[in-house]
Parts: sequence; structure tokens; C-alpha cells
Amino acid sequence: MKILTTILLTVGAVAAWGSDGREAPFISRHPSANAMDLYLFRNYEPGREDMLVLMGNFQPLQLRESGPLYYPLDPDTLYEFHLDTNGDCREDKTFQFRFKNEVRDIKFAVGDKEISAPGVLTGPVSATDESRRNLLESYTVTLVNGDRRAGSAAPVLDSRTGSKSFAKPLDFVGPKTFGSSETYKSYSESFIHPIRLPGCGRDGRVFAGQREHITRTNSAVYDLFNIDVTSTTGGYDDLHGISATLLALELPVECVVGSSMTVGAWASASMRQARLLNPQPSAEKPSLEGGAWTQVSRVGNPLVNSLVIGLPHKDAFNASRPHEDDAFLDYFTHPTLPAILASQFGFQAPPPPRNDWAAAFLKGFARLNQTPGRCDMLRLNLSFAPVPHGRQRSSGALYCFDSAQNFSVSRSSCDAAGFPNGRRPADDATDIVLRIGMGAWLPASEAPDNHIPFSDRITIGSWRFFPNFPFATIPRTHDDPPFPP
Amino acid sequence: MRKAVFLALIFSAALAGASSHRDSPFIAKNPKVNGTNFYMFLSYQEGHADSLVLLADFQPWQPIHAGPMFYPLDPAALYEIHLDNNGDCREDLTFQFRFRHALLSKTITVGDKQIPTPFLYTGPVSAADSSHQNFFEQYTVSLARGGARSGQRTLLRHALTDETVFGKPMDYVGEKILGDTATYRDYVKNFFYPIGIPGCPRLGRVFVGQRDDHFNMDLGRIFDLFDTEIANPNNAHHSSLHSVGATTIALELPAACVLASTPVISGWSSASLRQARVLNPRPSFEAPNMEGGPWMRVSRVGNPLVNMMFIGLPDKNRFNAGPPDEDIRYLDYFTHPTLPVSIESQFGFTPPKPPRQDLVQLFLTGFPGLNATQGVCDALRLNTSYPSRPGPQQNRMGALHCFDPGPVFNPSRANCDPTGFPNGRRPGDDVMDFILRASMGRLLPSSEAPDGGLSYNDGVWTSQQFFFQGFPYLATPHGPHNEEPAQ
Repeated sequence: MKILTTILLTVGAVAAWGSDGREAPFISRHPSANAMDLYLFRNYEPGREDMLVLMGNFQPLQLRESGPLYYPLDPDTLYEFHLDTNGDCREDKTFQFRFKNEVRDIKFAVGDKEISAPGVLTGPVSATDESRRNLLESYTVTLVNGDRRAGSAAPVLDSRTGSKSFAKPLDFVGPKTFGSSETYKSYSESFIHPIRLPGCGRDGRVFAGQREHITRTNSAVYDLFNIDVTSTTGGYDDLHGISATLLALELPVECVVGSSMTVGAWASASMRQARLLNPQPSAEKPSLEGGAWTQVSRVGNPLVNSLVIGLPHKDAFNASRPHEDDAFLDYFTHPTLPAILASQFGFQAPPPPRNDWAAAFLKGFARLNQTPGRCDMLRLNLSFAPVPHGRQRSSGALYCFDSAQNFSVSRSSCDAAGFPNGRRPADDATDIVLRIGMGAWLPASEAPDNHIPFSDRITIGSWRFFPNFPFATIPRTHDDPPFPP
Repeated sequence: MRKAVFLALIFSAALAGASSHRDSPFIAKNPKVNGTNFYMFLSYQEGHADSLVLLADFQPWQPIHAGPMFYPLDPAALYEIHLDNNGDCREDLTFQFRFRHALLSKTITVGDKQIPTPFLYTGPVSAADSSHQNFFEQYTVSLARGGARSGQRTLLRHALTDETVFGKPMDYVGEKILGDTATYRDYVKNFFYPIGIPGCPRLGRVFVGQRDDHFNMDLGRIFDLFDTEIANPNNAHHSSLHSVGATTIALELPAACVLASTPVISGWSSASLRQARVLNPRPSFEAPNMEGGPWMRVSRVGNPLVNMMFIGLPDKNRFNAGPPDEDIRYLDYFTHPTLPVSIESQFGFTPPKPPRQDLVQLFLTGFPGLNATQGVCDALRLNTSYPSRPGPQQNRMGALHCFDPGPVFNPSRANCDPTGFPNGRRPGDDVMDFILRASMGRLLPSSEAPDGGLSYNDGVWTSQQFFFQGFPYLATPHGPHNEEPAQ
């Protein structure tokens, strides 16, 4: 009742008061709703090649062991993976994740009083005993067929228990709480749940939990490439030891593909359009959120909103939907990234319009993964067999093309199962994007510097990852060295 | 016009669709308005000894080089530093900071088109030449006398130019843009401004910018059930916050102009947001959302570690929102602290028996003879009658050695440094070790605290040597990591 009165008072105040100044791009205010990197590939675990893996990092830049709260996801945010199965840049299937955080309010006996614990745990936690965990995290997954807001929705169920609710592991608080990195790994893996999709004959799997960042970044890139970009090793990995929340789905291929063998994917996060802060906030109700879901973050291909879209349009891009991407077309036909490299180092950037660059992000390639629609999404042609862990090339499909962007699987060093044909954890997306930008797929007459192995100097490879779902590695602890080995 | 319609539509939707969700503590979702550390001390810079220094950190845990956005403060937020000069736990002077952003939309020529750059800059930036800077942060400072909302507000002015708008330096985005750390340190000095305080014959100083997050502690071990031999004085661990940044608001004020009838001054920092926010479904840089309504406090900091280690999880949001003069409702968390019981459960050391009047004095009332006030609230309390000490003469354990068991303040004790925590707080005061020791009974007679004499510590050494000996005291952010780092 009190809250309702507050709302009514407040609405009057808003209307009178109007807009509040200029803003930095919005999502940096809300890391918990930041969708950072997306992966889409056929599973390369032996015997599971007929499964599609769709996973992404959210809530990036988690410092190791950041207590006392760590990094739960936001119950007021809608996290989504979208699949376009007919290439029209509109979602045909959407997997919606909603999270619930429950404070158990474990108390300590202090003298003659029972006092609420300040942290998210009060003692050791294991897969078999979570009784000392003070914050329980769980989530539901809903599959929507058709438009993500207007389509038909049905819950994804735990195929063992029939439950709609899935448990999320506690973040990696540290080795004393969990035993060791190895025991945290097995604890974490006990939260990989078998799932049954509506109308699907086989089980998939789902996981949500804290893992190391899959992608790595040398932030010298943001210092206008303050590195020798022609050297492929020796760079500082600024995301070493930094984590993100991984949401991962493994889906039976036959249950998610449509008529085309090429499937498109992107991820997004949305918040309720209106928020009212509670002046007497409890742990359960710090604010009241309502109204339409409003998209605040989106990711398809890597690096698009960080290195491709201009600063004035980053917020707009995050809020937009792929079928509207023609509004951003100039950023793809006339990319600034090669121009920046040219201005910083004197390399020669290929002349725009860059149909090769636009195709890599917006269209795909004939005989590989082209779609009729033009938009930023990952595109995966499922007919290429997955390459086993350890035999993948971190250059992905970069070398599958000649200088007229003709795709041929027989070219040497071609790994057609990697980016830009979908994206695997071990694909070195930064290097691939830099090289495409400088004309790797253009004739030397247009791109005289296209033979140079442009790089952020960070080496990516499948050795960085587990060979099994969900692939991403375990967060570091205070027992690990603070810097890259 | 369009905005008004948009609002009207939304709010009917909000009322209809209002839903309640369980939430993790609110502030973790909103790092830009997360206040983390607050410092208050008499300046120990030569020639500034009669100045009061206030440092308030916000937006913690910044991996320094996280582009492309880095770490602007929130233009929709109100950042405040509050001073209570009569000990009633209500602010008498409040310094209010509001930020604004300007984007120049600089473009890069690509063929025949001008394309907006994705970055905050297009080339090197220095104090003398900001022509490559694409994004500017500016701020105003108001002084409210009386209540922060009801009192009389005055915009503070640059003492020489009379300007009311101040610039914030760029975050340390890297060497190629801003030069090496020495160059960046000098660049930042251009953003220290002399300010006039109405009615005050002498000038103050203000600075807002990115600093190294100097709150040196091993967060990982502490919250991993204290994964260290907590009483071993030879512990040597890494700070979890090594090479991480925070944004600091720094003020230097003539002490005589903020004190009233008592030499004890109390202070705390806070951040507030407008109560209502509506997201723009078609956001632009200028208007990603609309915010309005009364200011709601979402974060506040007085003493260190209070909301982190003492307030229970169900009350953390409420504590952040509450005004200090209502802190009596949290009294049980101080008379009956869980921290010593956690330490006991992990190591078997015996904590003092509750109720803990010593911790109530440490956090909520101050100590008689040193910095006691009549009000009961979490605020830093500084008795300004003790002259400051130059860095090398400061005791990293602050005033820990100034107490006879009781605790009874006795400035004549050996190694007593009455100018440090809990008499205010200086950057070099190792408050983590202080609070661990006080929690286990260091300030009590050994009959009440059998294990109170142990050297509890988190293994991370904090002392004045890591800080500047003058304004703004807190260190320059760490340099970029282009190559393998030097340890």
C-alpha cells in the first residue's frame, strides 16, 4: 500500500520534471544485463555431433572472488537466445532465461541473539551439501516459437525430474569453501541439467554458472592499438583471471533447425521499461519493475558493438532487432577499424564499400552460410562436420576463401566449422576480424597489406578450454598466480 | 511532446504489470552508484595542515583498461559527501556532485563517408590538446547547508575563473593516448581546482577522477571463510584489488569553515538515484532513458567494512537507503556481531561475549575522550584537535595503540597515533587488520577477550607508503599491460 502511494506521487513528479541530462551508453550502468559474447557450433564432443551448442557470456568483467555478494544474475532481467531458422533475420525460436534469487537468511547464534549472516554462505558448500549457502539461485527456461513476445511459449523441463526450475551453482568463492578448483569443477558440473524441449524426442542440456571469460582481450586495442599488430604473440591478456556468467544450451539439432541447414543466432537482455525504487528496500524488493520488456543489450557476431558501431549509436544498436540492421549499414560497408589501423601504422586500408566485411557480419557467404536476410547474427551451416577438440584451427574459416570471397573447403588451413561459420570458444575472433578488415579476402591490388598476420598478440586455442560441455574454464582463485603464467 | 505521451503510456503499463521479484542486493546491479570507501582526515601535505580532506570512492573494481566505454560516472545520479558538525547524526553541510557528459561524435573518413568513431578519442590527449577527445565529463558542486534536500544550496565556483563547471580527466585508457604513468599523473593535476566556499576566507580544492583502488585487502580469502592463518603475523597475500581502479571524489576544505562548536566532525558519503526510471525503447546517446521523482539513496559509506562484513544480507539494501540518524535499528549487528563468531567457527579462537559496547563505540558513537558524539550512527568521526602527522610518522594501525583496556582512550600510550582510524580515516590506515583485531577484543581487557591479543590480519599490508603525501593522496591508476607486467 505504501509502495502504491509512492508510485502515484512519483508519476506526477516525473511528468513535471522531464529528462535527465546526457548519458553514457546505457549498458555500462548495468553489467548484469550485458550480453557480451555468443557462441554457436555443432558439439565436438565424441558421440554428440548431432547436438547444437548455443551459449553466451553475460555480466562480464567479474573480478575473481568478489565477495561478499559475488555475481548473481538479475531477477528483473530477461536473458534470451534467439534462433533464426529460415534466414530472414527474425527469431523463430527463443530460449528465455529468468532467474530467481532467494535469501535463506541463515543466522549465527551470537550470545543470546540470532543474527543474520552478512554473506552468501556461512560454511563449506558442496554438490551434496548446500545447507550453508545463504543465497539460492535458480532459473527457468522457456522456449518461444515465433515472435519472442507474441509467439507460443512452453517451458523447458528437467528431463529427470519434470521440474521447470533449474539450480545455478554458487560462484567460485574460493578453495576453502569448495575444496579446490577441481572440486569446484565437479560441483559446477553437477548443475548441468538434462532438458526436454517441448515436442522434441531427445534430451539436451542446460547450464548457468560462473566461468572464466571465454573471449580474451588485449586492451591495447582500445589504446588505439598500442602494440605491434603484426606480431601474433606476447600480448597481455587483460581478461586473464576474470570471469563472466555463462549461459549454455545443448540442443538436439533436429529439434531446432528449419528448412535451411544454416541457422542464425543472437543473444539479448531486456529489462522492464519502468523501475521505481523502493524507499524502504528489502533484500526481496529493492525496486518495483514493470511495463514492457525493453531490450538493453544484444550480441551476434563478436566485436560488433565494441569495435564497429560508432559511439553515438551503441545504445541504439543494443536496443535494436536484427531485421532493422540496415540502419547501421554504413558501419559495415565503411568500417572505421581498418582506417584506424591505417592511420596508426601506415598500412593501407582496402577501399570502401567493403562488401567482404559486410558479408562477414551481415550476410554470410555463398556455399557456406549465406542467408536471404541482412543482419548481424552468427550464421552456422550445420552440414559441416564438427572438428574435434585439439584439431580445430583458431583461424576458423578465415582461410577457406580466395581473394574474391569464394568459399572452398579444400583450401589449405581451411576449418569450415569455425568463425565466421558460427563461432567456437577457440576461434580467435579478434585476429580473424582484424585480418578480414585489412583485406584477407580481397585481391592484393585492393589490399596490399593483406598478407600481414594482424593480431592482438593473444594466442587462442582449444587448449584453453575443456573438451566437454560447457567448455569454459573454472574461475581463478587466490591460490592461482595473479598474472598470466 | 512525444516524451510526455511516452511517459503516460508507460506508467499505466507499469501499474498493471507491476511484479515483485526477489532480488540480490540492489547496489551490485548498479556499480556506478556504489560507494565503497570514505576517508576523512586533516591534511598532512606541507602547508595544508589546517585543511580537512574528504575522499569518497565510487564505482569500484574497475579493471583499468576495459574499453571502449571505461568508467564515466552516472549523470542521472547524485553523489554526496555529508558532514555533521554537531554530532546529532544529521548532515549540516552536504557537498553535492552532479555529472554530465558531452559527446562530440567525432568521425573518421572512410572512403567518401564520415563514420562516427567507436571510441572515446581519436588520438592522443593531453591537458594542452584535447582536440582528439570525443567524450567529455563535467560536473558541478553544490553546498547545501542544513538538510541535504531541504537546506539552502549554493553552487560552488572556481576561485579564479568564477566558473561553476569543472572538468573530469579521462580515465587512464592507455599509454598511447595519455602517455606513461608519470605523464598521466601530471595530466590529472590540471583537474585540481581551487574553489571558494561561501563565507570562508580561505579556498578549498576539488578533484574527481580515476584512481588506483587502494583498498588493499585479500577479499578472496576473507570471504572464502578466511582462507588464511588469520592470526599469523607473517601472512603475505596479494591484494584482490591490485591494478584495479575506482573513481574518487576528493575535497579539501579549510577546517575552520566546516567546524561548529565542537572539534569533532562526522562524515559519510552517499549516492542517490531518481525514484522512477523509464527506459527509452529507441535510445539515443542523449536519451537512453528518463529519470525523475525524488532522490532515493541507494548507497552510503561511513566506517569501512560496515555493510560488507557486519550488516546481514536481508538488511543490506535497507542500510544503504537509510539515513544515519535511523541507524539504531541496526544496533544488534554491532552489539552482537557475527564476524567474531565466524572467526571462532573457522579457527577456534574465543571471541568476547556480547553485547559489544566496544564495537558500538568503534562504529556508532565514537570513544569518550577522543571522538564521541551524542548521536548514534555509522559515520567517520574525526577530532580535529590532534594535528596531522606526516606520512612516515603515521602508524598503519591508526589509533589502535591509544587505548587502555576498557576501552579507555589514553593518548600517552606508547606508539599511540591519535590521528588515524577510528579517529577519522587516512588512506594508509590498515582498517581491515584494525577491525579484525578490534572484533576479537583488542580494545578489551584480556579477561573479556582471551584471544584479543593476537595479530589478526588478511595478509595484505596497507600503509601510507603507497600513497601521495599530498592532494589527492590516492595513487595514479596502474599502467597498461602491453607486455608482461613487472610484479
